[in-house]
Amino acid sequence: MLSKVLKYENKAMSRIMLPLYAALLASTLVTGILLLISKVRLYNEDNFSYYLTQPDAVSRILEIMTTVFMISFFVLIAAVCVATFIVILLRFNKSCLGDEGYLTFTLPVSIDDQLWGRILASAIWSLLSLIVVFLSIILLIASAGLLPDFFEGFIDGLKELFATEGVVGFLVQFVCSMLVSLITAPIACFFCLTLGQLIMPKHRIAGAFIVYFGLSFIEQILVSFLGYFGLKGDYLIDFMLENDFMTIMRGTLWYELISLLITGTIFYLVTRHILKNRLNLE
Amino acid sequence: MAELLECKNLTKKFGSKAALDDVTLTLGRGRIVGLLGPNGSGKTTLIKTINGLLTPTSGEVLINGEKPGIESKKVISYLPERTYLNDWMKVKDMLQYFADFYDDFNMNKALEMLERLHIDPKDRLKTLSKGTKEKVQLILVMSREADLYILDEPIGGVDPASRDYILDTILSNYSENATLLISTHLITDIEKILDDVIFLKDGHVVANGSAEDIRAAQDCSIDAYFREVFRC
Repeated sequence: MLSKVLKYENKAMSRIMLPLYAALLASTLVTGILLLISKVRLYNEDNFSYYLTQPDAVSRILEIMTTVFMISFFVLIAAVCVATFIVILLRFNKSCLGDEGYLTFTLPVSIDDQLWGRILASAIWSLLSLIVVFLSIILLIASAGLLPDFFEGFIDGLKELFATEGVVGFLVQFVCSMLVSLITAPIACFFCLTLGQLIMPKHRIAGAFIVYFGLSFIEQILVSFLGYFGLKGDYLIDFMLENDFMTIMRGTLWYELISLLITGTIFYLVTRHILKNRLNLE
Repeated sequence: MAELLECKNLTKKFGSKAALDDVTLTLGRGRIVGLLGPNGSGKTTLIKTINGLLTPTSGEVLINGEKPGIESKKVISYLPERTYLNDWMKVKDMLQYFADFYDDFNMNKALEMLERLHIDPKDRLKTLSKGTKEKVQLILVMSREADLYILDEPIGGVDPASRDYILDTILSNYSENATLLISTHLITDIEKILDDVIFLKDGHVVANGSAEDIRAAQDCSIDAYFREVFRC
């Protein structure tokens, strides 16, 4: 049943995300082509300074168009990121906490399958959005003719990185943390929405925001406490002083990973409990 | 074999207010049961509890001897009063959705009923009127071959002409062994099809028995008896 839930969640999300991806890639393409033409027509190839001291009308129009498309490109990148987040929130809000919940929760599907189908779909579309944004930036850099420079810098950076001791472990840890956060981020969203509708059934979204700010507040307090006790024993300072950069980074990542796993598990279990036992659809 | 549906001392409280108070009742197989009561008498609460959408405060609900869960959801076909359709889907997508999740969904039956009511399966649900959406939802629910159909206010928003067809549809589309639980306050429209009635008032069962017996004992129609019991 998990695969069926996943299938329909993917369908619902693709309806909004795929056109946005298409718009972003199309705008990348147009901006890229405009940049290429501009480069030939307006700029000195070597140093990107103005080639024409007195640009003619066509060049001016070209310049304006390039600027407009550049702006639309950045707006669309922002739109893809924001839309991914909003779609994840709205989809859950509608299909679980709204009227559609009457169908969702009377299907012969376990609550775990319902939740995991949604978590996985959210993770998949977050990852896809990341890839599409990354790809469009690379495409634009490539069309501006900066790709060789970019890759040179990138490869130099990689070489330097891999020369550092313990880097493989660090990268494995980094990728793991990223994958875990792709899973725990939607869980945190679902938790805020579910708890939000419990405390404020009439204003679910407002309730979710209150839960979110409450959580941030608690987190601040916890971090301050941990910091206080950590610093008192000079543990943190000793740790920073005695270890090299890579160990400190890995320590931080471990801390992140463990706190993500702990909070993620708590959020999942509470969300599951509320949906199963405390849900009261309007 | 366990009873189809058993409620034992079922109580559901919202805060300190009891929406259901110590409800005990049993539904057998092959019956058409009217769940009757004024607004706020606990009909929807009872139905949501049977469907596992609410957890009882105390007491229990058993369907085929088991608490509400995946197994009970496989055999109960539920029509809520709300429209639960994904409005971005087309009618035929919604049929496929039901076919994917319910093993007992009969696609041909659904298509046939859509045709009778002149609903195009290619229409987007968003573009349908409220009444048409209700019809689609009823078709989805009645196209399952379930043990227990629970219809919450099934004919409220539908025009009288379609109402007859729908009642007809309900009657002709369930098997001998299945039971229909219909909640409504439009009693006159369905009185003639009811085998049993349950009267609910302020979360209590005030009458429960065969429609025939109640008519005989009270010497009046169910509708008239309803007006008497629930006189304001």
